[in-house]
Amino acid sequence: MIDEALKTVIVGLLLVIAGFTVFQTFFADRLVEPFSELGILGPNMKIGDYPRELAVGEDFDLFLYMRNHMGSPQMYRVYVKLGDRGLNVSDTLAYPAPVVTSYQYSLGDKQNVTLPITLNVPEAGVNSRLVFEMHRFDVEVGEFVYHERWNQLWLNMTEVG
Amino acid sequence: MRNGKLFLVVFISICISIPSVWAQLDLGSLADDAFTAISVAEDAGGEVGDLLDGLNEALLLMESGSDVNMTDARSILDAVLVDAEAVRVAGVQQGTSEAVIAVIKVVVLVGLAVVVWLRGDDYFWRLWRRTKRGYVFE
Repeated sequence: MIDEALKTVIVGLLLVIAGFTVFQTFFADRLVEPFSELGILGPNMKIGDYPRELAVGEDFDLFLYMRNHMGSPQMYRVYVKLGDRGLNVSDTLAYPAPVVTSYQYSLGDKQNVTLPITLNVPEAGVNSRLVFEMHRFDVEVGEFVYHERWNQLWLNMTEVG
Repeated sequence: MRNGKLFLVVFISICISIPSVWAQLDLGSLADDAFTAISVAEDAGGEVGDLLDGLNEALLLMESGSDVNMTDARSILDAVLVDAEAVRVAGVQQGTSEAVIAVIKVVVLVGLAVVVWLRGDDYFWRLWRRTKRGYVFE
């Protein structure tokens, strides 16, 4: 007789492989915690060296970083909004300030992109808050919804001439 | 008279810009539709990498705002919509065949486990005798 324990191990191994096959085929795509990343990089493509003092209408370069961990393709739209110190940014509600511009890009799951962007701010102001706000296209709703991800830059904009 | 001319210039500018703004809004909605089609294709198990590249190309063209680029963006988005359906169908077929293969694998593995459990001894010794023909018991 072959050893009972050996027989149990072989049968156990076969059942584990069968279970793994079922999991791999039917449940492998399930995600525990879907999320997205939004980052603003300075003109040297690093975190830092952000502009602080600018003239109204002066162009400045930044990089917009996005990464998708949602488990499915996503179409993102990042709104750039101009506010100030008196208007706080919320994690749940979109920032109620005028939109300066917006950028749109779609990403597959686990993909990322770093987009070069050139901005200029049309208004003078001290401690102007330039908010980058991420929205994603919700296929169920059929429109872009606030994705509760945001970054901000503080700027002093001076009038020239 | 001067005001009349000014009004005319503003009116003509608005008339010229309305179709362009309308086209951009229309394209935005076409991009939304293209993305929805891509999502559906991906849900069905299709490989959507190329479709996303096409969509991004169209989005970049739309950002530039020129009429030529708008026309190109529209052609790309139309192509994405058509291709997405083909990718969806291919995804469904691949998903079905993967599921069938998985079921066959599981049935074979469970069957093998049952055979090992019930008849493992017989098969083991039969195999052993076949591979050790010259073996002499003492």
